[in-house]
Amino acid sequence: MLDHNNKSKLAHNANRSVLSLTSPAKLNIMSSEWSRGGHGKIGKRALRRTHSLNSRSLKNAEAHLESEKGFIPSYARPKMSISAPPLVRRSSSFFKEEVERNDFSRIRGHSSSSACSNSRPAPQDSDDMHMVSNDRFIPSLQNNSQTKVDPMALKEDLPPPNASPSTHLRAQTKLVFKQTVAEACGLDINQRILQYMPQPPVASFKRQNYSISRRTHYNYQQCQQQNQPELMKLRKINSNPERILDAPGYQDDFYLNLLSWSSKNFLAIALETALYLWNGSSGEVTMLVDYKDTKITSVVWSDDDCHISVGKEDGNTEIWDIETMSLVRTMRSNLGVRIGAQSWLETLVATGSRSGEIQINDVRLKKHIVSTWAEHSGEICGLSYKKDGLQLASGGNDNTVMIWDTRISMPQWVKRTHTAAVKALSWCPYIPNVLATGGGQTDKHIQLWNSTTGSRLGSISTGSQVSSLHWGQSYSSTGQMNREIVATGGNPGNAISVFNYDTKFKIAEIVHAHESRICCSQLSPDGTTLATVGGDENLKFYKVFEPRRKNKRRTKGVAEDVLNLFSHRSSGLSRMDSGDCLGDSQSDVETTNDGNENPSSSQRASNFLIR
Amino acid sequence: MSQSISLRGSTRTVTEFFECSINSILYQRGVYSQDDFTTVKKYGLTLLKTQDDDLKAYIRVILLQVHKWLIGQKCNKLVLCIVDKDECEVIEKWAFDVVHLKNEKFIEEDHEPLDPSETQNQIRALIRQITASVTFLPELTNEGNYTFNVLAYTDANAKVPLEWSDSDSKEVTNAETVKFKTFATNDHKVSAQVSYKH
Repeated sequence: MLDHNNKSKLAHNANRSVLSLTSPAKLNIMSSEWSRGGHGKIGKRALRRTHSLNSRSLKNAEAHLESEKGFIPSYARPKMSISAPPLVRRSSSFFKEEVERNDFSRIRGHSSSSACSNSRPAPQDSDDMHMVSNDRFIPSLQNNSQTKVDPMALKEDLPPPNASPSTHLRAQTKLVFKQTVAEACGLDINQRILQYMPQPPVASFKRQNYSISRRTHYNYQQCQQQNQPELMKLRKINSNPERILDAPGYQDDFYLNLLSWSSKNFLAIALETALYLWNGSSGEVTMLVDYKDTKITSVVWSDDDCHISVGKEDGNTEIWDIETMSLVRTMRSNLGVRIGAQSWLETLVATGSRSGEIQINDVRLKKHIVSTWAEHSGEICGLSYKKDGLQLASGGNDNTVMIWDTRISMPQWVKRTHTAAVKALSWCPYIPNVLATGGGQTDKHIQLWNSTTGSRLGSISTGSQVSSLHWGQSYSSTGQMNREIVATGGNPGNAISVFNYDTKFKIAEIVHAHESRICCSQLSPDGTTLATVGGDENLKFYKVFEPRRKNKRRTKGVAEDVLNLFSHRSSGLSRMDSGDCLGDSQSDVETTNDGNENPSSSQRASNFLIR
Repeated sequence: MSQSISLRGSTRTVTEFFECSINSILYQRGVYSQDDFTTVKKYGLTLLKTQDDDLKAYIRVILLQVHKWLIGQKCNKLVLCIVDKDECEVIEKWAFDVVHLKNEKFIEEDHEPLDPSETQNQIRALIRQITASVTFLPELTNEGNYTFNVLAYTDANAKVPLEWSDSDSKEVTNAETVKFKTFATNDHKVSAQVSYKH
C-alpha cells in the first residue's frame, strides 16, 4: 500500500514536471509525428527529450524510473476508451494545461485504438513498455470523464463519412477543445444560460431619471394604438402675457394656495395679510380684508361663487360674503397651525392644516368640524374634491397622495410614488376618474392616476417642480379635441408647460414666464387664460388654451353623461340634486350667520353626509 | 394533432404559473412597491398582480419568449434573481425547473393523463408554499434597493432573440437552498426552489 502511494506520488511528480516544461509547440511536433504513424517509439523519444530538459527533477525521475521497474506488473493500468487522436495546434499558453492533459491521454488512447485499426504492432520493446507504462500513471490521476466526448450528445454534426480522415480529426479536435473549455469554465456545453438583458422598470420608491429614449418609445406606441393619422403638432401659444399686475407682498411659499378665480370672473389673491379681489371683466381691484397681523395662507372660492373662504396662519378659516363684503363666519380648527389648502364641496369645506390633519367643515353647522382625517404626516398643501364629491384628493409634504372615499372617511388609495411634496392636484374634467398630481422640487413628475382602480396611468417628467396643474383643451384642424394639461414650475425655467394627456408630449411651453418660481396659478372661468403668480410678485395672465367648443362638447358630453349614469349611478345622482343643495347652502349660511341653528338644516346636512 | 393541442395547453399552464409566481415573488419580496399591486383571483387563491404598465409589459415580453421556447421544448429552467442594486449581488435566486415529459428521453415512460384539477391543486399548493416562504427568508431591508433579472436555461440550438444574451448562472454565495413542491401537467413537470444568502 505504501509502495503504491509512493508510486502514484512519483507519477504525479513526473507528470507535473513533464507537463510544466512541455510547450504546446513541442506537443504538436510529437503528436503530428505520431499521427503520421509508423512507429511506436514516439512516446518514448518525446518524453525522453522532455525529461532531458527537466534539469531539476531529472535525476529524481531517473531514480524513480529505476525503482519503479519492479512495480509495473502489479499496477493495473486503466483502460483507455478514447479514440480521438491528437492534433492540437494551439499557440496560446492559456490553454496549455488543459490541452496538454488531453493530448497525453489521447496519445495513449490513440495508440490502443490504432493498434487494432491499423493492425500496427503495439510497442513490444520492454524499454518502450516501461516508458509507456510509466507515462500511463498520468491518466490515472486525470478525470477520465473529461475525455469522453460523445458527438451525439453534443448534437454536433459529424463530417460526412467520405471526408478525409484529417477532416474528421479536425472536427473531433474541435469538439474536444470546446468540451474542455466548457468544462474548465464549469459549464454544460449543451446548455445556454440566457439573461433577458433589458432592465426591469424601476420600482416606484425610487424612480429613474428622465430618459428621452423611453419617452419617445412610449409615445410612439401610444400613437400607434390610437391610429392617429396626423402627427401631434407643437402648439403655438403666445409667450407674452396678456396682462401683468403687480402683486406686492406676495408670499413666495410653495405650500400655500393664495390664488383663486371664481366662475363669476373674480380673481382673489392674498398678499401677505390682505385679500384683494380683481374683477376680470372690469379690471377693478378691491380689498376685501386686511388682517394686519395674521398672514393669509389659503384662499378658495365656494362652489356658488358668492363666498370665499380664507385660511389663516392661526388655524382659523373665515368665510366672507362677496355681495355684502362681510364676514359670514369663522371656523376654528383648534390646531393652531396654518391652513394651507382648502376645497369646497357645496356646503362642505375641507381644510388641510400644517400638522397633517384634514378637517371636513360643514358651514351650516355650529359644530362645523364633521370629521377629522389624520393620515398625512406632513403639511397638507393640496386638496381637491372630485366633481361628484365621492372622492377627495389630498397631497402632503410627506410626499404622499391620498384619495379619500368621502363616504367612509378612509383613504381609498395611498400613493407614495412622488418623492417630494405634492401640491398640484387636478381632477380631469373629461374622464371622471382621472387625477393628475404633481410633485415638488426633488420629484418634478406629474403622475396620472385612475382613482377607481388606483392604478397609475402615466407619468410625465417636467424637469422642474410642479406647483399647479390644470386641464385644458385645444382643437386640431379636423376639429378633434386634444386633452391637455398645463403645469407651472420653478427652477430652472420658471416655465408654463402644456402637455398632451394622451401622448404625454410637451406640446407648448412658455419659458421664463416669471423672474422667479411660479407659486400658484388659476385657470379663468372660460378655461383659456392662466393666471400665474410667482416669487417675483407679479400676477401674469397667459392665454394657454383654446375656448371650449360648446357644440362639440355638447354631443360628446351627453354621451359621456349617459355612460356615467351607467357606470357611476351614484355620481350621476349626486350631480342631479347638486342644484338644490347649492340653494340650500346659501340660505343656510345666512342662518348660521345669525347664530340660529335650524334643526332641519342640520338634518339636511347629515342627510347630505350620508349620501 | 391532439398531442400538439395538449402541449400548447400545458405550456400555457406553465407560463401562467410563471407569471403568477413572478408577480407574487416581486410582491412578497418587496422588489416593487405594494401600491403597484392589485389582487386577483387565480387557482382559487387571492394573488397579487402588478398594475404598473411598464412592469406588466416587461414580464409579458419575457414570458412570451419563454412560452415559445417551452413549446419547442428548448427551455428547461427559468430563474428569477433578486439583485442588490448597489452591489450587483444576487441576494435570492428562485429557480423553476421544467422537465418536458414528452421529450424523446422520457418517451418510453407511459403517463396516464392527469386530471386538470389535480394540476390546479398542485399549483395552488406550490404557490402557497412560495407565499409562505417569506417567513423563513431573510428580510430584505433597504426597500427599493432591489431589482430582478430573469434567466432562462435553453438548449444550445435554441433561437435567441436579440434581447437575450448569454450569462453566467448567477449563483448566490453561501446559499441555503430550499426545494418546493412540484406540479405536473400532461407534458411538463415543474419544480421550484429558492436559494438565499445564509
